[in-house]
Amino acid sequence: MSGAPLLSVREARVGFFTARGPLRAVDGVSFDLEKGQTLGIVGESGSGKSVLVRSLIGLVGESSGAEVGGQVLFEGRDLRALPAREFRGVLGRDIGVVFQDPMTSLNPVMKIGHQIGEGLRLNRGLDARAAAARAVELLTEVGIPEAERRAGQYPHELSGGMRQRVAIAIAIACAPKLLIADEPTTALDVTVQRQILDLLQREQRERGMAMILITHDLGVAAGRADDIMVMYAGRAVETAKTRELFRSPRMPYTEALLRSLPRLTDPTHTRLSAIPGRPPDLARRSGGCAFAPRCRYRTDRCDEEQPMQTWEGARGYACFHPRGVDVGGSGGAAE
Amino acid sequence: MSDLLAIQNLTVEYPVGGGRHVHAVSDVTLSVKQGETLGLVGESGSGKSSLARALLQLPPPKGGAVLFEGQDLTKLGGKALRAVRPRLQMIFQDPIASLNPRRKVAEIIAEPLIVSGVSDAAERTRRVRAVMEAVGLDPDLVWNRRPHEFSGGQCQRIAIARALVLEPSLIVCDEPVSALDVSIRAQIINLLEDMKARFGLTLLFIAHDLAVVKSVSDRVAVMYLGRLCEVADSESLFTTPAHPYTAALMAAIPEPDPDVPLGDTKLKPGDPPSPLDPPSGCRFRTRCPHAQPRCTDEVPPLRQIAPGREVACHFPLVG
Repeated sequence: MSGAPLLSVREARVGFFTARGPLRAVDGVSFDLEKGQTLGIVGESGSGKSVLVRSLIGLVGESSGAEVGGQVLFEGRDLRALPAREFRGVLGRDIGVVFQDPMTSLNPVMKIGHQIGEGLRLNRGLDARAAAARAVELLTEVGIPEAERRAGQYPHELSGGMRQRVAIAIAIACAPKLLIADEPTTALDVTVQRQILDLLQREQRERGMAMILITHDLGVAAGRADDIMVMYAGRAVETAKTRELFRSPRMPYTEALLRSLPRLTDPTHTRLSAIPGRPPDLARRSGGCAFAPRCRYRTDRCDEEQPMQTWEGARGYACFHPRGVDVGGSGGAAE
Repeated sequence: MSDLLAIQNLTVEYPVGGGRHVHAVSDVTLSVKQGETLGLVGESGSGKSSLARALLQLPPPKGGAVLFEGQDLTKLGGKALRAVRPRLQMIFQDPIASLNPRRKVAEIIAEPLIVSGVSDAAERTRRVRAVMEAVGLDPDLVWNRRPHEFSGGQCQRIAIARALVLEPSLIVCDEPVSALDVSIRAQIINLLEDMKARFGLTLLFIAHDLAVVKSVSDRVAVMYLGRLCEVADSESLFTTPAHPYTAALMAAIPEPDPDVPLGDTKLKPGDPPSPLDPPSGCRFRTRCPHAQPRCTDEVPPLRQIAPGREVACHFPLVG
């Protein structure tokens, strides 16, 4: 952890205007990502995890009707202040993205070799021949057999797992410093998921890339992330080293989520401790902690006041009644 | 425990043009005992949903028999089949898509009663109210509302109420929690367990999330590319898998615990083959770390290796 982090996000905000009124999809999220590290961003649908990351790379912004705020520093440069041309250069060279559904992120009418080579031609100045050769090497590297033949095929000729490998080849083609993987295995079967996560991790280690891994699956995050940020209703409610998060969550939401999961080690028909209620409607948010209506430790203060992020070193949480912290008994006094 | 449902040599194929067929389910024999939950596990293309639909005759299978409460459903005609249907219900993966968006909740739940000939409106109202209360919906609040006003989890409660209102003996649950948010899943799993105990149900529970399957199932059947690999009680299946595919599935589970080391699936590289053109012999052989020439030549039959344990493998890992 020497020098400035690779990526530093401060008070990121994304608001949308919907038919039912304005809503805050992302509400003041801050985090740092060091070189070569993996940050897992975990949350349910509507928690803002995808919108947050898309806003960082300009996929969600004024042009898509969103109001975006906050600061995004990549290698010390404020991405939001860069002229469009330079911003595109940073995106093309230094940031790679893998999306959930490779069928929609790949161009269906372009041969896959050409798609992989496109970034190399535009951002790395390779000529067509060199880009094509490099594309075949990349296909081999991501585990696609008969790479030369596959390079001449179209996305529909490949299976879902193969397509995601192609998407990864495209994302890493220009040797980015940061790889963003947004639910990269959610559409895949469990054995294929495993292979794709292994591939991502291998590439990341060999290339020293940093990675943001967005997932709703705590199991996926547990095995792959150095740090985890838990999001709920547009806010980062807990940030911690992966082991600390799973061993002693501070935020009651994290604790409740971990408790609600079925465990392979439990006997069949073990009753699950379900979280009552459901995530809030972001267009109808009132003040106070968004998790309060579902929280077993809720007090009046939680309904009235939004808890701010509290930091203990690299560990942050947004709760008045954190677990596992001696705060003079107020945590235990909940009804 | 006697069998409530016995599937014998079930085969499902879909034509895809050019004289080719998807071999969705091939020669599957499986039974569900009265009062148990049988988990059915497999990846996409394994045929688990095709099997579920075929046993409900949606549409009827190409071959084989489906014995339910002693009757072969594949031999029953329209009227006789309709008489059995109330006893056999289904819950689907996408609760919002499976509910008619133009109907009120009360109408959705009452519909099966009307179809099955409960003509007394007061009787229908009574039964709809009772089943709403059973699944945790307040009848006075939800009666006149429509599905779009509810979250996925609430819609799944409505779908469960609709399945329960005819007092079925068997409910086929096809990925009932996969589309739900993580914080909602436990609520619906608990509800299904409660309903099972309260109404004496038998469940066929299809899912790809192995931890969910382990949590609810007394026994588990594993499918791969249209064939059964293994059937065993939950505990044995998860602790000592006998089929190499089951072992690979177990090793691939991402456990929500950073201290559990990632297991080795030992799979050969490559993706699952297409069910359009499944491999000869054992369909898993192209990815199996233990495959031998015999696996190419001979289809391994499902055979018993211990009481209550069946495996379709020439070289099982146990037994």
